[in-house]
Amino acid sequence: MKLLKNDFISLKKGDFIIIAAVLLIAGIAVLLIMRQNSGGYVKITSFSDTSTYPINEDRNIEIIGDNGGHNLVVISDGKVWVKEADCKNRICVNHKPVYKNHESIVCLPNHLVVEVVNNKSNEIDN
Amino acid sequence: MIRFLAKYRHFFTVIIVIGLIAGFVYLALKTKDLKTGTYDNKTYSGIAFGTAIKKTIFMDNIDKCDEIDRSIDKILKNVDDELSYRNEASEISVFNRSYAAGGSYSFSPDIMLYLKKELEVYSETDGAFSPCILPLSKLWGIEDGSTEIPKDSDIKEVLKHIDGDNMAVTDEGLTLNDGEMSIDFGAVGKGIAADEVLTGLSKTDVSGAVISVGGTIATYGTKGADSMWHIGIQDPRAVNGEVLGVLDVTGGKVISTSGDYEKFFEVDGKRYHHIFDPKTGYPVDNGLISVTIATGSGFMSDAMSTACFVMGLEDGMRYAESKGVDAIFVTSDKKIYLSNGLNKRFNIRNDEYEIAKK
Repeated sequence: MKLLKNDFISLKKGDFIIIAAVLLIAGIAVLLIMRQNSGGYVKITSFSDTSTYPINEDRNIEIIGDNGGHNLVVISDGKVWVKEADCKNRICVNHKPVYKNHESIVCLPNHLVVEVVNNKSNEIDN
Repeated sequence: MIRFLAKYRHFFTVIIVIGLIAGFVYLALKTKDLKTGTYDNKTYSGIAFGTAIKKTIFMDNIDKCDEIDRSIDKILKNVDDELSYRNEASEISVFNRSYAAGGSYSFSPDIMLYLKKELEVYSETDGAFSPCILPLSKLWGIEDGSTEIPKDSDIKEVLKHIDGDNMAVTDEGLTLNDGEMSIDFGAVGKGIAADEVLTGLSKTDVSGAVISVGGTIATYGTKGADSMWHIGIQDPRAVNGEVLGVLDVTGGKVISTSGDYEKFFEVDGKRYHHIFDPKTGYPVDNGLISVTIATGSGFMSDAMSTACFVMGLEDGMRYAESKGVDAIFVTSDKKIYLSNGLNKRFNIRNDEYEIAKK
């Protein structure tokens, strides 16, 4: 006990620099890991084809289904929605933009499923 | 030994300090994990049998989720094959094509049971729920994308052939006393599928699951420390996916919603939707815009959400409360009516609506 107390008192400037450096490196590592996780991706399935796109990169994606059906999927500002579709019921274009984990938009006539996969937890289970 | 430690005491102190910090961080993260306290889970979103299906499965052995996913699909396919009037080979399709008025026809035990239950709800609701409304829905064709109002004379003609009083189910079989009727399970098919899925899940080691079959949602077991499932209820007047509120239910419930917003067209500002009043032959127009029912049976939640929508706020709510189910009625003036005791488990999420006082 005496030894430990002695140790603490005798901490020198150099020791604090080492501690600070280690903490800094750990902090940067944590930030990097968190940033990686907060990205997530968008999974788009049309009939049996599946492709994925990062959700934090803005882009427009044209989907032509096996039935010739057309949908325009937009990823912007970390959200994804269906902007245009040639389907009859318009359910997909009338769906709110999705961005939380496992939120999805479905276009039944064109067999299109757009799903978000990330770590933004969703309070709603269904 | 002491001398050795003393010599490198600075070094050891630094190690100890870093170790303590790492320990605290680890504990903090661990506590957060414990608070969330959920089993591992996997979500599957897809399309099958002409409807959108979403399954989230919680279990310890996450590697088995894919297998569970496939077994649920198998159950859904069986129900669809058995019940869909669109399946030309199903018992019900064959019957509709070939029956003769007054004859008695036997079906497989499952279907006999569903027919009996349908007729029970028919009489309980004074005909608001009809098992034989198919000729009317076909005339309107809203499910298939029609945007025209049929001729009133055609509607009156069809009304003669959708009278449930002409239908009888005994142990011997089903009898229709009119030659131009059609039976279908359209109003309860998804609920029956949900029931079958819940039965299937009970034979597995899945801890919890929430399965959505075209908007009918089944909850099973628990996902961990939080014993409630939080089910978002669609705002009937907002874009798809926008919730009106969140209903908390335990596992083993099925939640069904009937609304005027799902399939409809408009003529001169008037909305024509897919839920018909079997007595008038026209889409229900009684001030309700959606009805949600949650109970232990998917058959009943599906049948009752339709029946209550047709019955209207007062009669519908009385029926729901007599059955002891959870009920959420939404009216066109943006009021929400809850069944007894539900205010503790329903959290409104949209300021435009208000919960009506009883």
